[in-house]
Amino acid sequence: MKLSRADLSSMRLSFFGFFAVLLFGLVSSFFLFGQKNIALSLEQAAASERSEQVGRLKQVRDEEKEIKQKSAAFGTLVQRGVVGEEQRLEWVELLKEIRDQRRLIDLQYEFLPQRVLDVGVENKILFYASTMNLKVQLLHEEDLTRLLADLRARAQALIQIKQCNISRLNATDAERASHAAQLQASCQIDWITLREVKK
Amino acid sequence: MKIRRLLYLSSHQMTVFHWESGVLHRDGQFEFSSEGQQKFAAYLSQTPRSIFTLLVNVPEEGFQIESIPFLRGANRQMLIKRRFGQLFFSATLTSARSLGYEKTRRKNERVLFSALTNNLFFEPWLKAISNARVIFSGIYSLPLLGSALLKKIGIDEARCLLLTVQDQSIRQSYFEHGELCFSRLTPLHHSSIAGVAQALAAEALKLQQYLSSQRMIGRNHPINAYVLAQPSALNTVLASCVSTDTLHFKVLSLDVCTRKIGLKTQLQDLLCEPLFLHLLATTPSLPQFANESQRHEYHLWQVRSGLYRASVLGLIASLAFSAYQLYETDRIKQATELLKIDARTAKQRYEEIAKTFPPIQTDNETLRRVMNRYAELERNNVVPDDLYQAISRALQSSPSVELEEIDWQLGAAVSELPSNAQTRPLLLREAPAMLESAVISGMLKLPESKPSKPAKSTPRQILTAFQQFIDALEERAQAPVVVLQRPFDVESGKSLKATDTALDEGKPRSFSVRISRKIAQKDAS
Repeated sequence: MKLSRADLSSMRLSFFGFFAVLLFGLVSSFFLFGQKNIALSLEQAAASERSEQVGRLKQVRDEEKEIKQKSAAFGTLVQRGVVGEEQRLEWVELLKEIRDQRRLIDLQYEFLPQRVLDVGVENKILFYASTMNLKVQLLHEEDLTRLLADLRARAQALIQIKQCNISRLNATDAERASHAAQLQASCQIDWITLREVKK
Repeated sequence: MKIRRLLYLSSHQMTVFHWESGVLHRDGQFEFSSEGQQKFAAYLSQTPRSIFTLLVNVPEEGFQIESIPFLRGANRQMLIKRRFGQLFFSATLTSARSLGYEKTRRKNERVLFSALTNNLFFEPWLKAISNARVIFSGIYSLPLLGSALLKKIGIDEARCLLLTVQDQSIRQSYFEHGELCFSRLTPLHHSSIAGVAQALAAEALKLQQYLSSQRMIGRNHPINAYVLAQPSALNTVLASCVSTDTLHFKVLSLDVCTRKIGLKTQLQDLLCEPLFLHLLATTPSLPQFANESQRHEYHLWQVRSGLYRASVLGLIASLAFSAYQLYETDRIKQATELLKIDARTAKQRYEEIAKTFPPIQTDNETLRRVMNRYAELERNNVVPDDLYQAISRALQSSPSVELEEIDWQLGAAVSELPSNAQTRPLLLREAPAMLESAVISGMLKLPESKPSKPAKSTPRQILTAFQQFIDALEERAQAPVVVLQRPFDVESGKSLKATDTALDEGKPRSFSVRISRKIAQKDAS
């Protein structure tokens, strides 16, 4: 069948009606389908939120005791001054105080710049370490162990001893008799603190 | 909605019927004259909202079964057109119907060629239809509807005759396997039932003889002749139509046939036109004779109708789809609300529990990570005191050893670290086994038995004392000791000189050992 221009003209209304219905159907279908998809994505978001909240609740119920313990331990660290900015002035004063108390001979130290302890870890609170190179002359090796014990007990940081070298000084008998230093100790100690990451 | 109107054209008149749901109404009758044709044209112009279909029952027609080669598409059409020219010269109203393919030959196709051969007879009627520009679906021949009639009334025989009476004529058709092979029309000269019955019997016999002479059926081959008659005329027809050895008459009641084909109009006389008209209205895909230009308006109507149906269907589908989407959207929104309520409730309960925790600056997850890491650091945090004490006790049992230096170090067990430098720091955070190690350097000097005359100590004595120190150290520290430098190098892999074993008087021998041990993990909790 061949359609002439006149035939097409006579069927204009039919075509118009067909395309109008088609357009209406497509537009309404797409619009409502879109609305349904929006509702679906909202439902997924709500399901995800619910899952997260229920998970948190379950976790907090399961670990209530643990969290309370950890919270208390964290509070202790805050009180000790381990949490927050480094208190280098306090550290220096502590070292001086121990030196005087323990009558240590020639206590020398050097704090290196602070660094992040766990590189690559993402957390709201991070651990930082400041390495201290310590040199001290000792009458007896117990002077060193007492010094380290004092630091661990009183420092406003977690003290981690990385290296300690004790060597005998080439002292003469006269020097030994005059209670001069017998041993030389050099240690490398990390002063570890933790603080909130600034964003 | 268009009205279905059926035109019935016989040799002497045109009758118009209005067909609706199986019921036929006679609309008008127009004689074969110029006046009748004018009235017919006027009638057409008054009924524009109709679809017209023409059924013809005229003697000027031809039927021929031919075999054509197996062809498709345009080639087949061209061949059929050429055959029509050969069989029915100058006939314009033609129809070809495929009767299937022969299995014994090279798939030749059997085709029934039909033509209405008297063009002049049809011309005024078709011109009136064309001028009125009405929707004209096609021209159909009455004998070709015989196949549909036999199928509907349940006659399925290899060969049979069908005799029907309509508008002062008897139509006699021969069918093979339900397909028309031959048909002819005989005028009726008697209008009484007895006269018609005698004519039916005579014409059936003539047709059988003709078919036999044409070798379309076997000479002594019996064949059934089906005759359609009113119940009231059955006895008269049966009395006239006496079966012979080769021709068996079977008279069928028109009422039964009417019921079987679904016609709701009651037939009053012997005439069978309504039967065929109803079949014309209800049977799809019948062979028809009109050309494309004559059916042009009908094709346009088909397109319009298709568009209308597609529009309605599309509208219904889109409404149904939209309704489903609305329903689904509403259901999802309700489910979302329930989820939100659940989430809020869980959050409230969480906050109630969290209120009982000591106040801290951070959230629980961060707290957990931080405190776990802190515990890990504490676990690996040791002082050298223990190792110093172990060394000190070992020295007490080895008086010949005098220490020069202890180099203590804390570090991860190197053997347990991967070689990949990138993963190394990561694993370090995951609590690898930590080692404390100390390199101990000192001098070994055996005690003198008499200060005035010191006895020379042998290498064996020196090494025995050294070994005693190592054993004591391993025992006290509970860790293996690796010798870095012996007082004497007596291993097979090293050179040994006389000067090495020649002991200077009382001169101490230096040595160096390394002790390493894993740090005992403290319980962080």
